[in-house]
Amino acid sequence: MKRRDFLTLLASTGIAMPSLAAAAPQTRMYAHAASPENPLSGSFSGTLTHSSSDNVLVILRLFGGNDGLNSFVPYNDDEYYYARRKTATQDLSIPAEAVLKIKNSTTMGFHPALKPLHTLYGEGKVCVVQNVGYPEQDLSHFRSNDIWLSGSNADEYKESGWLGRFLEERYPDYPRILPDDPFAVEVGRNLGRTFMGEHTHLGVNIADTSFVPSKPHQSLQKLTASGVEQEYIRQMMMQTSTFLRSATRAESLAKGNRVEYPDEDWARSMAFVARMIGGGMKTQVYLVNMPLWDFHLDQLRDQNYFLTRLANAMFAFQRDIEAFGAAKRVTMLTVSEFGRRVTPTLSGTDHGAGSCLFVVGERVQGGIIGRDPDCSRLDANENLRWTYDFRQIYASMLGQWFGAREADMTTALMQRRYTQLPIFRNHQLRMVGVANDEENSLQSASILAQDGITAVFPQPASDVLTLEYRLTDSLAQHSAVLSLVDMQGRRVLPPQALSFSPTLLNVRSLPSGHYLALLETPHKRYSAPVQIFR
Amino acid sequence: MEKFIPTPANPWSYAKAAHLLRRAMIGPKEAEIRRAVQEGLEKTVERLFTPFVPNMDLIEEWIEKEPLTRPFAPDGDEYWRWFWLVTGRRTGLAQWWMRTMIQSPVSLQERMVMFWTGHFVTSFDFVQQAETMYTLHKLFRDNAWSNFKRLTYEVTIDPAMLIYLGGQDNFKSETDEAINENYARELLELFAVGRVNTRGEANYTQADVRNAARALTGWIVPKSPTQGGAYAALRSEFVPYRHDNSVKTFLGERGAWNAADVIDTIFKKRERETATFICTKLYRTFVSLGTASAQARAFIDELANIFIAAKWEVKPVLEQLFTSAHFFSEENTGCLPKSGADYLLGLMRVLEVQNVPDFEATPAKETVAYRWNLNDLPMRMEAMGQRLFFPPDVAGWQGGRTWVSPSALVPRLKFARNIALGTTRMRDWDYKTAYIHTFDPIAFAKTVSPRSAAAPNGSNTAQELVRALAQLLLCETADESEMTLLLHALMEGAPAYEWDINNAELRPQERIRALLAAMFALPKFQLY
Repeated sequence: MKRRDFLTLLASTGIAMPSLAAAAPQTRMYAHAASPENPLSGSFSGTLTHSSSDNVLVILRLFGGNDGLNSFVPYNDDEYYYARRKTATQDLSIPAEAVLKIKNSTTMGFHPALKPLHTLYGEGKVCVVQNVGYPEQDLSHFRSNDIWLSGSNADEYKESGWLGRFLEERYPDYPRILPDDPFAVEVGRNLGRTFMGEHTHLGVNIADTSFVPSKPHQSLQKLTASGVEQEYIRQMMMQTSTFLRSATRAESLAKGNRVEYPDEDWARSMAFVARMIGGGMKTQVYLVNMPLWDFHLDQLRDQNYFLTRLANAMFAFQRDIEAFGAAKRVTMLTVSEFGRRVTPTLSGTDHGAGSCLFVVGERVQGGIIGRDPDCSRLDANENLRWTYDFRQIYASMLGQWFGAREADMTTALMQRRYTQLPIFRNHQLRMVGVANDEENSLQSASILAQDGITAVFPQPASDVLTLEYRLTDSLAQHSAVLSLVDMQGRRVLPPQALSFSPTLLNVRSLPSGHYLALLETPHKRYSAPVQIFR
Repeated sequence: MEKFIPTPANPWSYAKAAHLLRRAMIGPKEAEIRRAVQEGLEKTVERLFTPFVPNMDLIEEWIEKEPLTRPFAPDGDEYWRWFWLVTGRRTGLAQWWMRTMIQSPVSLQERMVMFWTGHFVTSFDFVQQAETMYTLHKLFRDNAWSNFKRLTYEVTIDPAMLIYLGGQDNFKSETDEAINENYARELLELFAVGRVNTRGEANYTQADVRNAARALTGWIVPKSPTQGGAYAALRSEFVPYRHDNSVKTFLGERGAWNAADVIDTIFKKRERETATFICTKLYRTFVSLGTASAQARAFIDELANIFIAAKWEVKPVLEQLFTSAHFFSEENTGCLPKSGADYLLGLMRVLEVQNVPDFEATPAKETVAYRWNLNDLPMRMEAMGQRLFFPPDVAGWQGGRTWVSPSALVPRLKFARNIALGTTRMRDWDYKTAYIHTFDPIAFAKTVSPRSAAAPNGSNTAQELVRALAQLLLCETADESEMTLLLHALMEGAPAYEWDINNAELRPQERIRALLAAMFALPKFQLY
């Protein structure tokens, strides 16, 4: 990356540059970087608040594998009730009467413990993405977790994390030059691979701000194994000292939370994040670990308790952030390494595959993305199939939330491109995906053997329509176009080239009514009915 | 395997002896290192394989007895009495083990108990009773360096493990509803063979996991009729009608397998993979985190050969490891970040810290909640990233560089600084006003540097003192800039020739404290 690009990006993130006084030994670097011809040379000292890109992403990691089926429940699905009651000595289904209904779906609703999330949904602040997974789902917690955090394929081993690589590319001088505030913070004692770059760790973990260690002594550097570790630890001490000072400052500026949180660990972590944001810390990504979701036994009881904790913490956080006046630039995202198996094992469930996740925030396009989970067509391990690759969520976060262009994401997403999902409001979607990740379309394709449009949802649609299709002939795939026609046969949306399933169509401009989706190859034409209602 | 042979150019020295003892035990003291230098490598390694019996006074009242009776009522005085006693015993077990690590003579025992604890993971998060946990802990203690295969079988049917990974709820039924893959998966993935071999090929399939789970059915932890449903027994039982004795295919072998067969099959069909997996873990624990280099892999291969030839006895593997040239090479010295135990307990051990409320036997007059409230050291160690009997997940403590992440460094630096300066106070307890974790800086300095104590004054003695302390406490020789820094901390800027440890007017106690505080804040103190 060129120096100039780096500065532009740095400026556009709104992350404060290191103050010159704190980085005295490196001042020369800055003098060089801030050359007269650089238009940004005057803007080092302060905080460059940029309208769209001081956005903050808070990731809530539900480690252990949360049961998506019992979080966002298909309460009209007999297959679900049949499977969850079939063999268990205990009924592991959520009764339809108990499910919290939502206005734009007659099939899906929230687990009763997610009442606070249901409230936020009613305010249009929750986007549920259904059936998220990846090809060749690994059933090991640790391996699948690594895959999720690194953003790799199931057969790739990557030490670095998707956000680590993203930040590393944006800030190539880190940690040689430390900013005033950390780029990424993992709350608590864990420091996993999410913020690990190819060369250095871009995040710090913070658990306790009551003691700020002094800056470490710079010893002579040696290239022995011990020398390398010493230098690593010195850097860690340097970051600890620098960033704890800024966290302490944010604590004092925030002057406490604006709302009350439940008195338990997860809520405390979320409260800490809110204070950091409210206190003006420029950190853009926070990771909060919420472990132990591995309910092999007593799932009903334990998941109920965990969902309660999760939803209460998220709700308090959202209200707090609103009170701090920062709601416009903060979004929460839940991730979990897999869902659970459809058929229970006694009072619990084993490791599964596809599952749902939640994106919550004021700028989120509230609603449901993806069709309902299908308990009747399972994969070889009898797990739910996925339709969205989790990296599509990542691509959407980078593109829509952090304003990254496709080119800025290639390292983060390991040189693959993923179709973004319409997660945020008022975002211009790139509708057509790219073909170099064929696996992405494999699984949804294998559900139905026949070529054609295999799924259209939601029905009726009002904003964005998702189409899944299958074309076995790769030539046909590359020359296929997709369009929408009304009942008189007029094209109401221009034909779009495509090569990736699922594909998204923006239908906001169309009036209510019946339409046909047309998939045309040089030799054949497939159609499917579409309903639009507004 | 190439042995370490002392030569005039590369002699058996203080640095070598210190390296061996730091790796094989926690916080070796000056006298122990000096004795090892005198006795030589072979004799010292022999000493390391000496078991010892710890002082049991903190826990003897309840171990190896049936667990406490849990009242049926979920609330009320009786319930809370039980609750405080149970939590008190859990805390007591951690405190007792911490004290045992500090009171250990020169022996590999505690290091290996820690190794197995981090390998065959269980947690108080699921295993309620300290009595049950102690049974497994005792198993590690009794098998510290004995047979790994036998230990794997014993762990598989251990009550704490059957509770922690759901083995007790894994049983045969007509509809297959009760086949719980949890233990089978972790047995394969984490305890024995690992997910993939060195070429990255899968060591087993999902079908193997499921069939192993079937074979492992039938083991239960009997519940006591008097205990409100708590898993009480300290011994598991095999219940034939719960066992699935159908023919299953596991790792390509067909048969009506049971738990013992599963272990046999793993160690037979995945012999090389299992040996490599465990030896890699031993390598990471005792030698270096860098297991990917060609040299490391060759060494691990050799260890694996020994392991297989010794029919899974651990001792021969470690004996070879500790006497190898590779272990003593500069590349593998001073490069391991300290675990929570190494940091906290090592520091307390080497300074011979006194006045530790956690280690005092409970006075009879105290309430039942006493030991629970007196949970000071375990919580301090948790802040450093390692809470005993509460590992983060079934993979155990990740170790390596995770030990020195920012949130672990803060409490470490704080703790060490407070100990050095003598400013540690008890958290939230009656001891608030009194300082705890005390030591005598003058006596400590005189033990480590007798020459400095003998000579009345002069610049040599100050430098000698700094050098001797650095040699004992840092992972390698202090460099010039560090010596300057440390000497400055000791002398407060005064010329070194003014130093006299016996002259009270010079406040030697305070200055040794300042020196230690500066030393503990160096990156070289965070490694071993």
